[in-house]
Amino acid sequence: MTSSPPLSTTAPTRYKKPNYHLLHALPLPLSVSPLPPLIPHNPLSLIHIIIAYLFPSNPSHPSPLHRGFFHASTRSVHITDPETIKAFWNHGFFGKGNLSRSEPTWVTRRRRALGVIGRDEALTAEEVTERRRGERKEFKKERARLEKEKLDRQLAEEGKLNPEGNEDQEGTGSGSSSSAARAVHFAPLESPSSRRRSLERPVADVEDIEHLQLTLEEAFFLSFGLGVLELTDADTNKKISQKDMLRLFRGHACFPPRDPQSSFEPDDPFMLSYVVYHHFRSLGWVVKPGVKFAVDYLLYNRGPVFSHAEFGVLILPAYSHTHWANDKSRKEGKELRPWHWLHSINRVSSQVKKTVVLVFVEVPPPLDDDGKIGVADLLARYSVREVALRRWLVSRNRD
Amino acid sequence: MTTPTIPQEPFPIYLVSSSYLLYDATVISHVRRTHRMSGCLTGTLPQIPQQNIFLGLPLELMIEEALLLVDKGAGYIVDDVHVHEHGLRDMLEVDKHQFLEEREEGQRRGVEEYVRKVQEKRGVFVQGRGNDEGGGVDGGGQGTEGGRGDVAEGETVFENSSVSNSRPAATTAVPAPTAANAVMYYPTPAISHPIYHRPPVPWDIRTAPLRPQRTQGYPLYKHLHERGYFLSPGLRFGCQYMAYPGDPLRFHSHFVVNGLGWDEEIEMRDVVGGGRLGTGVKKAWMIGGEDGTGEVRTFCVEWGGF
Repeated sequence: MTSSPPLSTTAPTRYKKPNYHLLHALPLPLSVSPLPPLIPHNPLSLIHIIIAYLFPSNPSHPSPLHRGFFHASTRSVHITDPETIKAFWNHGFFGKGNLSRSEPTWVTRRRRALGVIGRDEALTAEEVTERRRGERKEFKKERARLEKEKLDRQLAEEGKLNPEGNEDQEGTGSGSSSSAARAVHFAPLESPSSRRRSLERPVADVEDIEHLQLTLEEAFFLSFGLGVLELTDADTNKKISQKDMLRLFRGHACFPPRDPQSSFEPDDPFMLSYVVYHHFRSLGWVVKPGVKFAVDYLLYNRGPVFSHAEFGVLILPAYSHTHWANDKSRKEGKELRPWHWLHSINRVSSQVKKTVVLVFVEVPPPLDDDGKIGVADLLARYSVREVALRRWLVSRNRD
Repeated sequence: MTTPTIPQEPFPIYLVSSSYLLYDATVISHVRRTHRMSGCLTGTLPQIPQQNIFLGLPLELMIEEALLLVDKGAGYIVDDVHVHEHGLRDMLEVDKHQFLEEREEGQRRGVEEYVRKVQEKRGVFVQGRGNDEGGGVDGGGQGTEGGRGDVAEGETVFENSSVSNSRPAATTAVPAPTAANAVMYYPTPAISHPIYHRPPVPWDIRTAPLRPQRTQGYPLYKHLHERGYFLSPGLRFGCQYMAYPGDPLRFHSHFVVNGLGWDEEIEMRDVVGGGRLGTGVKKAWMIGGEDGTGEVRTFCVEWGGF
């Protein structure tokens, strides 16, 4: 408090993080166990493998399955069970908390605000960001103050500053001690949460009112792709079968929502985005919605807690099948985009150090009766091409 | 400072493979000064076609700029390829001769003028040097002594008129250049001479043979232009136009502008991107368009950061 804080001491404080490598060890909410080793000269080891394969000691899927509720009003699937929330977030980073930026952490922040937990206990991503911004602001203030002080000193040396006005500010000391004397005036900024905590009123523990929101693509992947999620319609309280789910989601992907029983075009928004979502998920990427960076999806290598997203994905329908050859409105309306649009996306992405990946989804011709075909066969008709795009500057990309 | 020459309006805007070009530097500065259009210099040197920083003539106009100039009656579109072919082919023999003679005459007058100027300068220079030698500073010697007063120190029309380095050669008798014996040069003019097209007379927009196509952004372009903004193409900044509050050489742009149709759907994603795009470079992202009544309305989006 009394010594001069040089700029180095205001370097960002590191807060203790949980061990993410243990917490997020599983890439998907499935438990897998390795088969026993095959020993070539011991034929009995084969029997071990067969037994382990047919009668696994612990099942890969949870029993009963995780449950989610489809809400037409928010066009999303809500998960309220805390165990399911934990499983979906920790293993694959599915969904987001409806009161949080990403991970459902509302209850932790609330408890801290009410003084149930300590100030630096179990910091959430939002709080870390907030503190980092606060520190940055303080650092800038401090830097500006030191610069001004330096300027004042220089002016005083050159005799350009009014000496009387300078005296009472600087006191008797030299330059460095004067900054120490003045540093006292800069009390650390009190954050609102700590102020509230200082009131020290005894409170009961907080009830968690937050739920996990899954996008339609995530819910469909968990249900169709992994088979760990069972959906219930929140309005009718009826279970939704997989076949109905696809029609329901296709209907709700456009606005205003369409009747699930109506016939859908093969290039409706849900099909395009689900094909891409499934494609990248099955290649091991963690796929999150990317609207905040003006792209369709963000691709994380292992997950948002480990590193920043490396790629932004733009979904573009491609109508190269001969069926669409004469479809002017589709070809010109959805396939053609202005150049300046691409440049703006690319600029925004390179500002946040991401690479844009244009993902072209080859749209198949419409089926006569798409009620007959299974979901997997329907998806198999689509194919995906990726093109990575980046700003290339001659002077900066030399080495 | 010399007063700028004001070209005669309407001036030709040349249309070459769907780009609108201006070749005349006086027209370009006039357009910039009075019509607040900066355009884009596009010319490179033939030897260094890769260079893309310091470009020269011709100036390419945006389609909106060309349309606005035509609408104002300040310019008219010349389809360069068509006019060139037909204009030359349809020219009468008499006209052709007349033109050639006129050109010859013009050249000769130019050369005469040039020679006269050079001689004048020479007179001043020699006189000045004579004064210097009188002071005894320059021991130039006898050679130039004889040549003093003689204006013909072995120069051709386009030789550098500074003779201090060519002094030894100066004594050799070279006939004084006159308009008659000077070598005639025909430099290619920077301005293409309008021999094969004439401005449509009487000027009337409705009878204009060519009009640039009205683009979707044109109403917004016109709206901002009328309010004193300079608009330049914004392709590399990810928008249709950049709006500068004055000449782009003096000001940073304030807005990143996109012209839209009134009922055009815009994706949420693109609004977010626009907000980021503008805020990242301390500008505002602007969209706007003409509503049903012909009035242009504009909207700005900036990143909030709550």
